[in-house]
Amino acid sequence: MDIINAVLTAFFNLIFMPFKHLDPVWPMLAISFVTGILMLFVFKATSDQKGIKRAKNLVKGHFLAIRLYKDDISLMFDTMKNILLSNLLYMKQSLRPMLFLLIPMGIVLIQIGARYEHRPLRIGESTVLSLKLNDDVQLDQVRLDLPEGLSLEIPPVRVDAKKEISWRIKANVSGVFTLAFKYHGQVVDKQLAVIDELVPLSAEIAGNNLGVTVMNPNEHSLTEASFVSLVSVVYPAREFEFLGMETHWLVAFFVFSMVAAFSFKGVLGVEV
Amino acid sequence: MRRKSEVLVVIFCLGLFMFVDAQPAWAYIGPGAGFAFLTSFLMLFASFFMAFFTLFTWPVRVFIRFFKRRNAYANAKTDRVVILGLDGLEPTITERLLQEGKLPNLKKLQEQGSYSHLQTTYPAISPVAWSAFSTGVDAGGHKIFDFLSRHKQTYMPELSSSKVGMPKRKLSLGKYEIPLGKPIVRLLRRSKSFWKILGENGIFSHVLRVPITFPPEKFNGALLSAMCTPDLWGTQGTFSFFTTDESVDPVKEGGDTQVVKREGDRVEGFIKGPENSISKQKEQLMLPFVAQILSDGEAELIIGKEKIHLKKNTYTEWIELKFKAGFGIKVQGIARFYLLDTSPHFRLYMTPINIDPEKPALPISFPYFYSVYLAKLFGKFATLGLAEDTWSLNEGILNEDAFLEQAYLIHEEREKQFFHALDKTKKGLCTVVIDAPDRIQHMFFRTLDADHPANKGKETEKYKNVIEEMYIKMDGLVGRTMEKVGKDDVFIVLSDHGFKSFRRGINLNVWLKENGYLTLKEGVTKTGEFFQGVDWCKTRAYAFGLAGVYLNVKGREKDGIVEPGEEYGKLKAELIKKLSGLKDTGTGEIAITEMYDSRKIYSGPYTNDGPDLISGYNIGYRISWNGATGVIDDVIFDDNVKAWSGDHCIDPKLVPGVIFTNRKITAARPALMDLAPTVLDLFGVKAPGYMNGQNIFQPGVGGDGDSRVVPNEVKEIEKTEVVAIDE
Repeated sequence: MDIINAVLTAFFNLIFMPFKHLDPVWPMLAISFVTGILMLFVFKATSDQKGIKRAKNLVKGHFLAIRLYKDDISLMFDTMKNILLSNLLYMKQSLRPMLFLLIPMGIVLIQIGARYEHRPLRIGESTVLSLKLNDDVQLDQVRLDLPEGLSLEIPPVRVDAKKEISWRIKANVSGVFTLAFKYHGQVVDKQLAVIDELVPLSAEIAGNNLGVTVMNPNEHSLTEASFVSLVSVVYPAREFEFLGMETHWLVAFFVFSMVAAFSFKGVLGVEV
Repeated sequence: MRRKSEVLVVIFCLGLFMFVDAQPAWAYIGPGAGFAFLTSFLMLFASFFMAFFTLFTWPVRVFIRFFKRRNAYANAKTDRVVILGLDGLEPTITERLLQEGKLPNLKKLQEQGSYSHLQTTYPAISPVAWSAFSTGVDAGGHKIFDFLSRHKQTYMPELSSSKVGMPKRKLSLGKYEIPLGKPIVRLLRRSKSFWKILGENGIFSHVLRVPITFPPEKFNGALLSAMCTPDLWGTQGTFSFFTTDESVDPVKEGGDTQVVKREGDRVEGFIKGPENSISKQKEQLMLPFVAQILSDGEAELIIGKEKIHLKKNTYTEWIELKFKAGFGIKVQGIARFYLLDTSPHFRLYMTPINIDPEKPALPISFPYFYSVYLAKLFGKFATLGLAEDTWSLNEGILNEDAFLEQAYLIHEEREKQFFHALDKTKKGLCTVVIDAPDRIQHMFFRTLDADHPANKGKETEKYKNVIEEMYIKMDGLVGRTMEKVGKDDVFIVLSDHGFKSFRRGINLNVWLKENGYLTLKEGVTKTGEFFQGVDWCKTRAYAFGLAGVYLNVKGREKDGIVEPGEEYGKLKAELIKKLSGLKDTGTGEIAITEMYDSRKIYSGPYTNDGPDLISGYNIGYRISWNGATGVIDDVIFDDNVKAWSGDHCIDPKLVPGVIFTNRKITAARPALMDLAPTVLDLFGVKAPGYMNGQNIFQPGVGGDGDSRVVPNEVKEIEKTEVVAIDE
């Protein structure tokens, strides 16, 4: 999984590279646009285009029946039933392409999410770094080596019952830092970004947790033999603003890609 | 192994993540599916909103309706009337098949109610007949005397049923002239249809494909236009024939031949569209196409972005054809293609370009979205008035099998639409006219007539059962309809006229010329189409259309020379005398049984607009092909060798239609124009006094003095004899 994550992250880093120093809206626009078009191709190739058109026509046809038979209450109910059924048929037509789109869209969303869900720390900001340790680890033996540029604000808090340790760290200078957690000769690394660029962030890394690994593609997962089961950093949420409106990045991606796809579906002859 | 299972787990997790994650928006899987779900949601929302709005306002509308149309159904004898029109069903054939037990459903219907001959109109042709059905008046009242009427100033033909034109005000913009206003589309049929009267009385109707309903009239119901609805060229149906054979004779009538270029396996050509109405040049719009020959008998047709697979002797689906007129304006039509050959010559047939029911260039239904509605539910369908392309078979482009397939493909569309309308008609009127019997009999009647001149050089044995099979199919349609008709409903099956063999043609204009009634200009021995070369200043009478003879009356026609009054009367009497009983010089048979004085047949206010005389041709005769198009040479009688070998435009007394109902017909001699007052009465609506027809379920209707009827009685099947009319 780490290899796949590394390859994909490198690929997306390449795509995002030209936009590194621009307002995050621009790369979002570009990626959404390209994704919208590409997914349109996939949708066309994997769906029953005639079936979709037929299902849509049925919905539209029954829709017109509402106007045509507006004075007949029984026909009206009949029409409502038909609209519902043809809508289900229409949605059914989308299931197959959805299955094909599941993986590529998941990858794209995860990669965009890694960059837009959170932002790196700014100089002067603090964050909490937490370790979830294996049951046999002695909490007081775990040490954190802070690189230059980061400082510990308060001593670590250890909760033995939960096997957790937390540190409050302050960022003093800009950079992507590697934090090293040490325990009896074993070392676990975790990156911490203090930078004013659009970079992928991993808020968590884990060992035996595929969900965390999939969702945090920027860093290697922990080895099975590691003394740590989960490392987490609390990054601030990224504020995404478009035309003066604050919105969630996912909504923006949804809207942008839809607009792109809508604009090109006629040109590309895709029935959606 | 571990990797593989990991991948599967990843897929599963991603799927789970998409659907179950706390943020519902993550369920968005790409723009395609996103659209699907968004559209689906919007459609559901909108439909529920509309339904809610409709339900909410329903009591208000019921209240208004109560006051406006409070008498609807108050005196009705039934809540539902279903009329199935089978155009051209011939009594003699029907009766023979009834006796042979091949029409069990019609027999059952007869046993439930009645069967009778149904008197047709003068002349016995569909536009006249179905207009009488719709309005309950004769041609003098509805003003449809033929397919064509003559322009009194130019003697040129005009479509009698509708007028289509551009608005007068236009904006000139370079090479374009933009019309300021809607195109002029007018129905020329006069009087009022009975479904409009029903609508005024609060009764809803479905009217499907009843001829002479283009453009559709506004009324309380849904209507799909039929006969006389033009194709995209504005004609009554012009097919296209593409071929690489440069030596081919161009199609003479009803079609357009285009010789296309072939290079290797690639054939290129243009599909001709309508004229560009926004261009000052009015040039014909063109749509380029490429046909890539894939193998012997297979090709790929490329029109714009669309690729259509062509297989020899197989019809394509309806294909959208979009012609660009300029300024982003497109005119859209639909056509089916039929690959005839890929070698030695590429030969491709295209149906006339029908108006696209989903994007109608002209109004073809009421409300305007009714055709859209039907197309959305059942797919695109033929909208052309005379949709079954008889000319292509006449001209030898399509063979009999291809024509039959086309006719039945269209018939299937009509059946679907009819049964849908029937399901939606819980109360009210549902009427449809099925054209297949008419078209198929026109083209295959020769197979019932061993001596028919058109059989020469044509396959006859193979097709001898085509007409019988068609009758059996129509009986099946009757049966399926009966399953949906309740015992309290009134169900009527009828035909507008019968059918006879058309062996010999008469060119009455040649007879008029040879007998000194019509004169050609100096030096002209043969005219072009529509009287080019006729000296009107020396012409007293001329035949026009399928059955009309006009006198060239002074003050009425531009160059009229016959004085109204005594001279007019004398000339008419003279022609009736000379033409009634006219014998075929070639065979010795009587060609015209009777010439009718239209002033004695018609009673409506438009009587004077019609022909002065109506020709009553004998069985086996009809106006010749040249006669119908106004060509005057020196041949009065000739053999009809075209595939169009059956006809009904003869003496109306010889071609009555049929009527079956599940109620007892009490009228002695039911006639087609009785249907309108009958249906009105069934719904408790008083028929207007101007209607010529009478209620057929009321005793004492019809009589010997009634010129529209033939002496025939309401018959029970047991008493029925095959009418002894020689085929």
